[in-house]
Amino acid sequence: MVQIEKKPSRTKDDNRLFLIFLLLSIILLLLPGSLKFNLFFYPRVILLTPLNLSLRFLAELSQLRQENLRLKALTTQLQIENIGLKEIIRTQVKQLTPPSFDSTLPNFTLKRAQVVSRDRLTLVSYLLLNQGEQAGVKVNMPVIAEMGVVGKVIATSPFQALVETMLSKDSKIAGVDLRSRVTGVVTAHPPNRLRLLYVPRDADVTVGDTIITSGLGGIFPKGFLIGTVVKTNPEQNSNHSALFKDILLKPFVDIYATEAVYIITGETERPKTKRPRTDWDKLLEQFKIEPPIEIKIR
Amino acid sequence: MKILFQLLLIYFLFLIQAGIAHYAPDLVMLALVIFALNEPKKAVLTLSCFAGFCLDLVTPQTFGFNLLLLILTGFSVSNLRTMVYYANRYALVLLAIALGLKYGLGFLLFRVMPPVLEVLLSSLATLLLMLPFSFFKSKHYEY
Repeated sequence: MVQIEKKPSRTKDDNRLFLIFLLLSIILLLLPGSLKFNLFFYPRVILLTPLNLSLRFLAELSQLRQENLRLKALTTQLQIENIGLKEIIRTQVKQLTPPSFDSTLPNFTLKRAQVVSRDRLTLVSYLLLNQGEQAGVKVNMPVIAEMGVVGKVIATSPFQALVETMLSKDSKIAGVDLRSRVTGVVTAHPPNRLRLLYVPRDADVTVGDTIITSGLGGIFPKGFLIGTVVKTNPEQNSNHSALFKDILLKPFVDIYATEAVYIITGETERPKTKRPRTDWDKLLEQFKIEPPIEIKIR
Repeated sequence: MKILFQLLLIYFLFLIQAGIAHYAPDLVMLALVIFALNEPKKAVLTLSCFAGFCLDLVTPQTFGFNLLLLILTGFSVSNLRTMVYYANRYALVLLAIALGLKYGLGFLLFRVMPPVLEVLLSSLATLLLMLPFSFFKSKHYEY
């Protein structure tokens, strides 16, 4: 006689478990809302913490990105202002007059643009930007980055602009030594240096000097950073060495690493603001002294 | 140990689903239907209970609804898989029925329905995600 071994059936257990869970869910469904809310407050906090943290992190990332963009634009604006102020101070020191703080600095309208393509040969001679005529970009508009001059727009389409950088062999920018006011023409010196041409042999240009745009030529406004002098060699027998100094510059802007630039689309005068009263004014008033005419503060 | 990984996976999918909020595919339901086609009934019921509890945490006003829904879905699919051969070929149909049950039951109980576009897009995304799974053989097709 064959004995059939009876296997313990799991179905009954499973059904029982199902009924228990079902009952539990129905009870939970029927509980009053406030009780449910209070009852599962801590499980909710614990189980949803990773989600809250992730969402907060993503929100902070987005904020950081916007903040970064804003600060970059601000840096550029401050750089421009800084150079302009240095220029004013230098000019007024030369004229032996105190700096007048209500002098007007140019206020540039900047258009941010992303570099979307580069020339295939050198990667730095020409850049293609994602802003064009639709954004008000025109040919010959100067292009700058946070640290200084990049180049100028040479062609535009409705949505793109082609920029000839200062490292292009065709680029020529009028430059001036910030310290000694010696002028020259800045051209490219491949692969990633610049050269200041037409500077007389006896001109006062030394290593470490800053070269800025001189404003001559009508394209680049005065006072934008171009580069620093890294080498001067009057003895070298180069093309210009008989008459001119051979000056090598390191550009401030690393065009190889530039991803976003600013196109100067306009220039407006900064509104004049009244200078705030200073201790100097109070002192003059207190002693009823008229300042000498040369240093009269406007 | 296996059930622990499955619980973690359900929790991870729940976080993604809750993070996307509207128009999110019902990833938890999708995972549950897949588990229900391949795992023992007891494990499926445990996973259903956990998944339902997690989803209910996000909607405290209707606490218990997701629990009920997922327990019903898990248990039904677990039972159905023993009745049909090549269960995974029916996975898409089973999921579609489960999604229909979700919105239908929700409407019956609370008289509330999400926007039609949201329902359609979410369901479509869920079904599309299920599509690759339908081509695999179920472990239990030999029943």
